[in-house]
Amino acid sequence: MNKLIKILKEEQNNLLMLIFVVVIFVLFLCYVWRNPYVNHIPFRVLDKDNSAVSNTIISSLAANEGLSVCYYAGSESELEQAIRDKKVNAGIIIPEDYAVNISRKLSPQILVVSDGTNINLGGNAVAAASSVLSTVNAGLTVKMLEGNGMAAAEAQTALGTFSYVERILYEPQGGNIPRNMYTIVLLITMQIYVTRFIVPAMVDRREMFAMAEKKEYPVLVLDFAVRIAIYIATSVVVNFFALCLAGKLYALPLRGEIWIFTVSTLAFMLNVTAFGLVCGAITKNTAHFFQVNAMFTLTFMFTSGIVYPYHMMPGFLVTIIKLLSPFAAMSVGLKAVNLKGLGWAAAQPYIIDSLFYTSFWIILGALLYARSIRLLKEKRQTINTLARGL
Amino acid sequence: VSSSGAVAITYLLSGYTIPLMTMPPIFTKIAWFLPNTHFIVPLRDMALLGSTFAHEAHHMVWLIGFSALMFSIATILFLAQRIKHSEQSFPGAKKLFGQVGKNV
Repeated sequence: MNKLIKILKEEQNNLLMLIFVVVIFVLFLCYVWRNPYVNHIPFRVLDKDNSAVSNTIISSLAANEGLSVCYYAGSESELEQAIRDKKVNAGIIIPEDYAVNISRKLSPQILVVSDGTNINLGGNAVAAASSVLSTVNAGLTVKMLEGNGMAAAEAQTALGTFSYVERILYEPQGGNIPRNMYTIVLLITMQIYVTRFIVPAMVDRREMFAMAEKKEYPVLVLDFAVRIAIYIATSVVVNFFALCLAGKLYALPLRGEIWIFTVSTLAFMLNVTAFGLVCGAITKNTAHFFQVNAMFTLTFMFTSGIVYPYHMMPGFLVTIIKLLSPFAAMSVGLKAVNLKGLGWAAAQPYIIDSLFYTSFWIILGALLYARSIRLLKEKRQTINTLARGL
Repeated sequence: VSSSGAVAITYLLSGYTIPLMTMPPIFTKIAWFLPNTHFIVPLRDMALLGSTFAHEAHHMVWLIGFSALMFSIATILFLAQRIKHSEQSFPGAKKLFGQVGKNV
């Protein structure tokens, strides 16, 4: 017990950092992304028709919360230039004689253009404009049918012959918090655990192992294992606490069972431990590791299967990612556990994949570390021999 | 942690992936002070929108200014550390540094 308290005292700074950084980071990003909708996207109108119909369209666009009709363009090139200059993110071109061609049943076309360089803005602008246009279109069609002698109720029924209802499950708002937060919390935990504890600890302990007698090895290994267990337990609790806090303050859904969440996060932390063991075994200078790690932070995030789905990546790349990244096995699974409330049966494949990853890299890490200690010992012996010779 | 965090946070707050207009208004101002805003966003515009040098020149000026500022701060901190270290190892070194500076 005394030994455990001593270890806790030694690691208290890093453990406190783990707790506070994860919680603060999660709350900060939730605050930044608290708005799930992209509203008031700058939108420009080029009305070449200037008819009652085009005015109805423009006023409907202006009434839509997603768009902010802030400029009126004089020509196509002016609209294009406005998009290029980032004054607006999208626009609409209503052609000449639009109303006349409608009455002639010539199916005139309106053009909606958007800046696709930021798909979040461009896509939302097109979606908002499309919803407005389809509503206006339905109204016009009803009026045309009525104009052709159809009764008003009949015209509406005719229009609604084919209809559908959209229902987006689990994440209907499509906000950034539920989309990213489950993975970001893992990324922050991993970064702190790997850079503050496991890799520096392994680099420091290499000397210790090299100087120790073989009979002292079990004590040293046990000491290290206890520390790892403390970090993993703290990480699981902190992850849960941070997500609960985000759930309470920013309505982040947490639909999974607590035990599935605990086992899944534990599996993830074992992956990270295995990854850290390999990194620690091959690292001599922690500063070099930090630099490489900083470069790979975003790569881990991008290849986690959350930002870009695995089924859209080439097969060989997915295999490589799953072999190398500690994120690949569990990130999608953990998001599904939290967001969809997956049961044990659905979470099992992710956990099994994770255990395979851990087993492979933990054995490799241990072997590489043992080799690096042996090499260090041999180096010391050679130096001692030479020193005695002198 | 700090370098990984800085990379990630400046990327997320630059408006590259998540539009600034969805964030609280203060972040539009904060984004202006982040180097990523003046690098990755214009880079994308140059590649996809075909922006010209004149279009993005103000970002380049900002980046040069930022680099100069950071370099100056780093140099001052480095020199201050050197002087402090020298003072600890050789008392009176600060005076000597000052003297050398005056002579120069």
